[in-house]
Amino acid sequence: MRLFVAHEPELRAFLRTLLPSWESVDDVLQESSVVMWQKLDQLENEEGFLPWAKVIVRFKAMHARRTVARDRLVLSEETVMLLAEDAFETIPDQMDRERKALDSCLRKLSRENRDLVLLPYRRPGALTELAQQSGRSVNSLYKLLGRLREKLRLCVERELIARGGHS
Amino acid sequence: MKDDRFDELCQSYFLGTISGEEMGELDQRLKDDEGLRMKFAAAARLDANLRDAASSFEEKKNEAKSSFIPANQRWQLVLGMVAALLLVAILISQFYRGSFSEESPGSVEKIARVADLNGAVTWIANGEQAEGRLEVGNELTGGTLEVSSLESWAEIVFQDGSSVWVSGPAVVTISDGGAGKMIRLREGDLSLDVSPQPEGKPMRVITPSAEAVVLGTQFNISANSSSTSLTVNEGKVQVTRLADGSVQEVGADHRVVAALEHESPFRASPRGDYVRIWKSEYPRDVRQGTLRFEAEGRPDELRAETHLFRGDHGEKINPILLHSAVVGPAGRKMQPVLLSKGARFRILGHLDQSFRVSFGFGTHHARGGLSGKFSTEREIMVEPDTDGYFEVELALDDFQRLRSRFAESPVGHELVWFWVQTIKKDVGLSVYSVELLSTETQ
Repeated sequence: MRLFVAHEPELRAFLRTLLPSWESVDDVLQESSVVMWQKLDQLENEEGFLPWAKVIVRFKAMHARRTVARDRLVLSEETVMLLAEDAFETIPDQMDRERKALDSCLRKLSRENRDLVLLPYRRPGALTELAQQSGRSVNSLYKLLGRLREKLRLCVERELIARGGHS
Repeated sequence: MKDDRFDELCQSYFLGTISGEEMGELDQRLKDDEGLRMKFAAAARLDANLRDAASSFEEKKNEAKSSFIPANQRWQLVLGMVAALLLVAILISQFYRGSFSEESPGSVEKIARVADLNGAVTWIANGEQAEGRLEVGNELTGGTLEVSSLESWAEIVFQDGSSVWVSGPAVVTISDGGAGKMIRLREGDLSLDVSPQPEGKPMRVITPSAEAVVLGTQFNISANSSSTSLTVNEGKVQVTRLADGSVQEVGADHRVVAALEHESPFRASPRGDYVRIWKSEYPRDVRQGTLRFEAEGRPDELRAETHLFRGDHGEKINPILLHSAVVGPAGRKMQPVLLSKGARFRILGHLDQSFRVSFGFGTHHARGGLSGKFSTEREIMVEPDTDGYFEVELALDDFQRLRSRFAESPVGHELVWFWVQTIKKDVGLSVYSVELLSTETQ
């Protein structure tokens, strides 16, 4: 449990690379945690937890992708396999460092823009509601959101370089 | 290399707005280019971190709506703003206290107020550190309180009178929403006096290793990243060990320890009778510091841990380094320790050189919550032939209370922690043992 909690953010991000929605990510992670619990005696040492857990979530994600593909757009199985392979190895503390950099970048945004960037994660359909209330088109809000997310991505990259340079 | 089209496809994918044609294009490009797959994985991590940030950065209610009012409605907005400003001015004149509140009164629901505080206390509301001093009487929205030094504390009182003593060092997040009050204790010590809660809306206290459900009671809780200790003085608390979901009902005068490694027993047990003498044992009684081991692996000394002091609740000072070692009676079978008249502490430790050392301790009321913090300082001289070892004895009367509202004397109160600290300079402070000696019989 302690190991799962410690590595949960990284497992969640790994699954997000493979699956098209947060709903499917959460479902797969929950199912995977049960499997990990049942097979815990197969884990040889704590250091091996993350790769072991990634094998389990990758298997579950491939299965979930096939189910999800029936009613929504998904990447091909071949591409998802390649993504899983590439994202299997990660740099220690990468998520943590990127999260801290993101926090710093979010604080640089105006309150309005920050709320807009975080809105889709807070309430499903909130962006459409906002569009209706503000008289703007959903499309224009998504375009603005895309620009803000790109700005954040670049800011995170810069922050990581700057922090790396000081360490 | 910058690839605007790929960035656009990524954003559409993660925002869930991608079309069938775009998905085909994205799929092909990912299949063909390993560099783009790495970029895609980075975008997934950003998406995961944004989702995580959405829960820690509190939303400012109604503000997002006001940012996107179309131009033809702006005159209405201007009139509305004039009216709102007048209203705000009236409310400020009635309620505004000090420079702390960054929101206009009434714009965000206040759920609690600061009843008392001392030392290094920082309040972070809406994901941002508040500017100005946090003061007694400030009203608070949901947010996070960081009480960062040993001499500091804060008392927060909810609207229904439930009070929470936060004793430093501690990090605690409070909220009060539709599901009831929630307190997340990342690390540190809390004393709670909880008024009866509405039916179906118990207060929940969540730590990294346990969750307590409270209807109305007085209890103390101490948590770090792997273990939670909870002592109930009045009422009853339901505690869930998060490692395996097992549940214990903890009644009055009982305690329970929930650890993440679930091999440890998780069972509510009576606190037992008071003892009046105590000697620290490692690792059982370590609260802060780094243990160093003898050759055979037995814990031998507690090395002071270095942390930064940035000034008392908002004051701007140059950061100061503090070096602290903290111990306290703990362990599953540890009986409560009562401070008796004539008692004294004996501290054995090590310094690289002679230096001024601060000593202090925290107390709880007998079978109750936080009752005080007491401290004193001594110039510790280490002789060259003693290899830096020192021994000092301090009577209870040598310590001064840190606040006049605390009991004048700690006699009759429970010992919770004892700290040893040097300020600014790292002079190699280590603590071998802290012992409480008493003239009274057990």
